[in-house]
Amino acid sequence: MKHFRRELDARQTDPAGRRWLYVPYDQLTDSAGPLSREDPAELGIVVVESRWKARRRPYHQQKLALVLANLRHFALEQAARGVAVHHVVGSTPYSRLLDPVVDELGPLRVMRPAERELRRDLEPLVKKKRIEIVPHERWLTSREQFASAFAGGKRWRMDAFYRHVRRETGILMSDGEPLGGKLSFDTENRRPWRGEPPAPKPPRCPIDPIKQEVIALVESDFAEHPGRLEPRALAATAKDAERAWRWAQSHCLEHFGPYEDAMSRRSRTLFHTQISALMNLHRLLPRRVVADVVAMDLPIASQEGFIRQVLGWREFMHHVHDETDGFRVLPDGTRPQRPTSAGTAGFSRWSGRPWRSRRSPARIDGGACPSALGAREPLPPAFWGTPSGGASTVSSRTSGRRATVTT
Amino acid sequence: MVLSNLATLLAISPRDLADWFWVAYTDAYDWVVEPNVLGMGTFGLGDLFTTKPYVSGAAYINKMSDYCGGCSFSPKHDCPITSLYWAFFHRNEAALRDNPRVAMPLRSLARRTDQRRAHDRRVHDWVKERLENGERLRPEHRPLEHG
Repeated sequence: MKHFRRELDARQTDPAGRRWLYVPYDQLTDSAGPLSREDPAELGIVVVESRWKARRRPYHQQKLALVLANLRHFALEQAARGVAVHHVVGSTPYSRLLDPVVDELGPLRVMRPAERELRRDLEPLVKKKRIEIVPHERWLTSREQFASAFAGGKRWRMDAFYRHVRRETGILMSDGEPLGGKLSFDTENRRPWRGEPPAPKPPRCPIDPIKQEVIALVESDFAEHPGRLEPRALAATAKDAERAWRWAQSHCLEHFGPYEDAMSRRSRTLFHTQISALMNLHRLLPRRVVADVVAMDLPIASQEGFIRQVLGWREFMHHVHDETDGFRVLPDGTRPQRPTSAGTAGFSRWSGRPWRSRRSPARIDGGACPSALGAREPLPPAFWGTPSGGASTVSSRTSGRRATVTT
Repeated sequence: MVLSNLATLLAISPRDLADWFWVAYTDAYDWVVEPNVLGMGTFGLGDLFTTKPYVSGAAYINKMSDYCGGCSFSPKHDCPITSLYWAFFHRNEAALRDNPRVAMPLRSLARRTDQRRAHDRRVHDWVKERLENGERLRPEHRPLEHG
């Protein structure tokens, strides 16, 4: 952490008299919310590295490194534009780490966290008005839009939601008509890929001292976590995010649509843009990628296919999760079981070592366990990398040693 | 799709699978991974927000990928995934009977003889046991059709 702290100190401005925001690990943008509107010289941000969160589950090392490196680079970028930065490291839940920060800096604002787990964590501070929740401005659709898409008790369906939102927002629409003549080209997104056109290679990211420090930290303090780090795949700076998005636009999007569902041993990712990890951290904003893709000259099946993922699927997932409190309360009133602690998906069984997470407050459960078909079997060790298939090429592909991304 | 398909066919706990995706995917957070896996991937939430279980046998995987080319099983003859597929519908026939989106596979299932259904089940149990023990699946160990 020495290097990061030194770089941060070199950029720090006088923190006195600031209005403070808590910026969760997945809200790393200044293009929305108070950071986008208020004078940097009057603002401060609190960023938190919680070892409790990192050890709550056996997160892949690449994921830990990705989140930490982005958080640190974001903090440095904000310090460079004159925002004061308060950086906190600890081994307890976020609420415990933020409590003394509020004593020191006064009440904090936070944009409503996307993760239910973090919202639950912060609840006691919100109740005591030590933290004020302001709206999360990075979703493309509202709760009201979700409700109006299913007015009259219609069943929740992604396709209906997406069609509704296309009409309401006017995205890829012209005079009320969908571009290309229909709202969804889903049926044209199902071609297998036989080697042509060639699949692009994802860009490699430069390694810098901030990333190196994070890599060393993950390798030493989180050595018991699964996976191996791929430093050159670690997109962590604002520049890395821009590079990733430019690459996606120039190398992936044209062919994304037809091969959206294709799979190949020769390319793990084919024409998928792989921006979802950066988008979910808000290093790339959904609004921006949608606008960029609408402005591009692309085959409609690719253009629409991509928009459907971001404007339709991603938003729909978030609303369904929100409406059911993460499936803890279903619309018919049923409440699936939920364990008191987070699961490890059989990691400890596979690794032969017990998984020791740190104590969590009772209010943070291990998530809902619905199983409409009564499926109850444990995850087989093949998911963690034990060879399982009829050929060696298959076994290496199912290895849990590499972090993967979708979209 | 392949990972969720296999887990669903093998009746893996949706929660276990969601927890696995949550830790293994760099883009996974509760708001996206739980609906995606508990709902879409495994049909763990029934038809709450999806129409049917997204499952397939070897034919679909062979059509959409080149995976079968590197495998010692044949998608047309002895791929266990196809047996898992039929065993899945057999096992869940009552729960899915009223779902019009799976009428076609259920009609095909109805034409499947008792003997073949029993074989599907044996292959399912074999796959499950091998994988639980961390063992590889090999064509020569697959239960015989008339065994």
